[in-house]
Amino acid sequence: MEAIEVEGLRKHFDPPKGPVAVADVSFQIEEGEIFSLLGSNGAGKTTTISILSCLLKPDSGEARVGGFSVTREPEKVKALIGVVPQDIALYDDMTGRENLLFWGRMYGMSGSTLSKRVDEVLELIGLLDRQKDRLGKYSGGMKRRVNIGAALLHNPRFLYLDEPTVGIDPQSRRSILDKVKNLNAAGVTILYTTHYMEEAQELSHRIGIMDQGTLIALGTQDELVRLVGEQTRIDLALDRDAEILAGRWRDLPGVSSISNPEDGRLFLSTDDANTLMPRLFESARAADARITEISLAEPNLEMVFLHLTGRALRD
Amino acid sequence: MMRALSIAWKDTVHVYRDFAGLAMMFIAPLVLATVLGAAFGSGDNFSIAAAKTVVVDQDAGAGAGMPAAGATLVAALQSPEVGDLLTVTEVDSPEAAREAVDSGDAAVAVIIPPGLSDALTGTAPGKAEIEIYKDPALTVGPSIAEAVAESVVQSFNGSRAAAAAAARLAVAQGLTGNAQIADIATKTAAVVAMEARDDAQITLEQRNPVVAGAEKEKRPNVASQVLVGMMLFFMLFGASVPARSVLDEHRNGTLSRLFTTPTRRGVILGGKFIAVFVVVLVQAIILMLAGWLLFKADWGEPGPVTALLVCSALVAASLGLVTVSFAKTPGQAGAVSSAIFVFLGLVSGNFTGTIVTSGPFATVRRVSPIGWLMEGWSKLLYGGSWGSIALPVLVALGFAVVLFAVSVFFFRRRYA
Amino acid sequence: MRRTRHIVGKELLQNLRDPLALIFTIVMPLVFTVFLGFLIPGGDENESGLPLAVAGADGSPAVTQLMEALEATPLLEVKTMTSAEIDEAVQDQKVAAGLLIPEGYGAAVEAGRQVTLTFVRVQTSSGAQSARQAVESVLSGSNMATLATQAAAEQVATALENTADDGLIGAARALVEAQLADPAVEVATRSGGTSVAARMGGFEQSSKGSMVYWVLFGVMSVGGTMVLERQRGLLRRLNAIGVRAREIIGGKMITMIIVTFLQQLLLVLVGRFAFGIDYFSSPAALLLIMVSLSVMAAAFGLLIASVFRTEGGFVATNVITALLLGALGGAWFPLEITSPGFTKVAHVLPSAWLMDSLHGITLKGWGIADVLGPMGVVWIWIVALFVVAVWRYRPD
Repeated sequence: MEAIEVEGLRKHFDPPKGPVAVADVSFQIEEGEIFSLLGSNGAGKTTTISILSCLLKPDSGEARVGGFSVTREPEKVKALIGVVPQDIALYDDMTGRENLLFWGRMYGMSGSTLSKRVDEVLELIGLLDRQKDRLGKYSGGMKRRVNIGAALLHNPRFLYLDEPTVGIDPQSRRSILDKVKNLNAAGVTILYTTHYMEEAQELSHRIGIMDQGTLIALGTQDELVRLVGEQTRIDLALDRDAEILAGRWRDLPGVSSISNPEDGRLFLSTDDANTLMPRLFESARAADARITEISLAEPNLEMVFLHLTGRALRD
Repeated sequence: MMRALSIAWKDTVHVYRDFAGLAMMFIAPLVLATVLGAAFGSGDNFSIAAAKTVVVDQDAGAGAGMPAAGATLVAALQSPEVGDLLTVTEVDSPEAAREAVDSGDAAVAVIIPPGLSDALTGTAPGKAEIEIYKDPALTVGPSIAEAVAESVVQSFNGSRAAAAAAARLAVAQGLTGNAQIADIATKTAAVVAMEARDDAQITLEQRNPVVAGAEKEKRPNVASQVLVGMMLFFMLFGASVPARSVLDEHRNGTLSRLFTTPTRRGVILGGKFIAVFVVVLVQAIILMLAGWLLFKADWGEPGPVTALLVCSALVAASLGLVTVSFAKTPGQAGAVSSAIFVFLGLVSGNFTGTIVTSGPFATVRRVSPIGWLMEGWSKLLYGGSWGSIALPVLVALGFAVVLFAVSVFFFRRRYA
Repeated sequence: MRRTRHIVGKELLQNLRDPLALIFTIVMPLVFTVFLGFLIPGGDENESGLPLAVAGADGSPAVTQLMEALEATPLLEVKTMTSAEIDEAVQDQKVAAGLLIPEGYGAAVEAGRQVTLTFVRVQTSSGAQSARQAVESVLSGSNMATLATQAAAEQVATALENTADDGLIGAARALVEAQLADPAVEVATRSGGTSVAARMGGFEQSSKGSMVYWVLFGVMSVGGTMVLERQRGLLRRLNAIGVRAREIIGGKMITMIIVTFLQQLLLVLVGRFAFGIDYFSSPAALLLIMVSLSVMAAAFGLLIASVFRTEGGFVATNVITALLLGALGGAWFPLEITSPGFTKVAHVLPSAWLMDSLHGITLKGWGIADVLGPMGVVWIWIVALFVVAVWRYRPD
């Protein structure tokens, strides 16, 4: 039996005119796995996690966590999961310790067991020395750490993290990613949602790519990259007219896909880099533009996304 | 149960860490009770400012040896008995008198016409008219001056009527001497004038109403009566502060997070309801203690007071919860509940107290549970006991049960 | 100036889209006006209304005479009750006051003995005070007739070297009553001020009270928005793109002034055309008062929004300020029924001067020259509030 099974999930908000947030999504997560849902904003990742957290009821389909149905046995599911929401969901006018004690009580813990566990979690997240300060005085990174800590108090079997590194500094992000790996190493099955390709690549055993409510690809990184075949990725930077050139290059023979330029930078995929590159330089020269940087790279998830959707992950 | 209490404790602590909420719950009602108590006088006496009165006496008197009627009226207006109510100044002319009122320097002018004494003694034909010229924006001061003038005029008319009646009676009884009849008339008038001041046959004494079950009349002071209205009004705000936490938590994401824990939604909402009740009960206790210490409020017997206190807290909690249950955001809840509470305060008499005394008001007040609570507290202040608060408590509790049920329905529909 | 205009446009749009702003700006003030206007007794002697409960009407001639005299009084509406019912009725404010006629009243009056009636009232009730005056006036008249009768009969009897018997007393009474029915001296009461509706009735108080009291609620939406904008970093953002503090403050104040002016205008129109209040006796004076009231509310709103960092703090302080200004300024009840010191203290506040001015133009024919002084006090407040508000203003 898989740890988490999702079968044909569907969620339509405010039908008939409202958006279909999740459309016929199916996947399984194995025990001890880190599974990422990768997609741009609005892809349906948070809705999927909300269904698996028993916050939303699906319109159709089924999901089972640890063998329990999210629709029929929500209390049993909730006892197994820890949820780290996307926004900081904590109480600013309470101290770090008070917040953790409260959430521990909500998980049914109490007394010295709870107190000891709070100490452990505070140490795990590196905030033992700040535990008596009110959360309102914490930095964004510190709040994020408490946000994660509150989900770990009851030693959950499954941990859901919904875009936990949005808007924080690189150091804090690094810390969170390391913690996720450590937790997984300790046996926690992790469902991780993100729109950062690098995070999905670094953390995940398997990745599901979502776009507009649909799971468009699923597999290990190697399996996903193979979807784009033997394509090569060409990253380049232009000194001017990047949008115009990108438009022209879209129809250039040999170009499989091309991203929208951002600050003069773009990437494209091709089967034959050797033949394409001179054409790119020629085209740029004709437009009186200069290619200031160019590099070749192995295909990555961003290329996969572009290949599957025609858009870049951050669009 | 422990989880519900944890939630209740968390919400209660949150309330007491919010200065704005504390200001609404404690500072505002005490300040307003102090202000309004000062407005209506200290202790148990109702006092108002003395009305500035101007008087012009154009009466020259009726003849040598006879006191001028005008002077008598002026003396009555200036007498020590009404010294606290009227501050009287004499002016030279009716125009000056009216001008003083029109310019706001006086509340009322008493204009005594020439020939007043002559009209009374009959030496001049026709009637005399004393004019009370009053500031249209005022009612109390002018009515006092009017009452004094009416009383003196009544005495004049009475003396004159007595003299005239005595003269006619004497003639009817067969007395014929003009001098004797005149003497009878004069003496009669003098007796009436003297005894009218001193010996009223029918007098009026006043007292407060005695509430059923009270052994004697109790005289609550003004400040405690005002504090009851303010306490009940601000308990509504006190209840809405923790009640709004549901919406705050929904906005902040902590409510959703709570729902991801094994704690049932009913327990979560129940914990919040407990917090609302506890906060508002503590608020009421503190306000009542403050009333007792600061305003010497004598609330009544402990048993009925406790019952009414708990009932008041339940009603306030239910109102706080139900107004929040209709709102979608904390800001909306704050505004909606403020509007509803001000309206309830108006209807229930929290602001107007006993200024309004028309019959329909007593009926309208009973549409609101706060109105019933005002009635109950009023009865306790005036010496009532269990019997007199039974109906208000029962009705108010009935309201609370219904309102709780409504708020549970809306909260469950949205969050369960 | 252009940016200020745009800010005003944005604020007005937000205000219009906020249904609760409409409730506070329009609905509640109108409800308050109508409700309190009906409840507060009018000052016209020709209006009846104060219910007086009377117990002990035993059918004796003296009691019947007393009841007839009470019923003839325009201010009173007499209801007969038992003694036990009276205490409860007074306590519950179903009647303004109660009058207990003791047993043997008739016999005592006939015999010329002193007798005391009991007046039952709630001491803070001004309706009870008015009822008491009316009752005392009736008793005074009754006392006078009795006194005059007794005196006339006794003086004639003395002259006849007799005692006053029932026949003599009866004859004296008839003569006295005939004389009293046509008195030589009367009291006529006239009001100063304009000839239209020149009396202080319920709606005079509630209409003007609503204008002064609810104006602070009118600024709640704009002020609350300012607090939220500061919390969310929007003010800082405006600052960062070069919008000056004075443009932001100016925009917000102008919006508050517009909203509250329109609020007052509605109340004035309703007051004039629904309740006959003579607001337009001096349009210039009215305009000055309305502008001053709006600017004062805006200054208060701005100050509170500048000082308080949270929406809760802003709302709480705004509500408390409105309550205090209303209670102290004579918006809820006329200041003349308050204690001497209180009236003096109340006139430290601008709301008292505004109420005085509104009464002045509707009841006393005040013109713009008469309101300049009171409005001067209001503007001193406005300047002081504005200076502090600007000093405390921070975009973050």
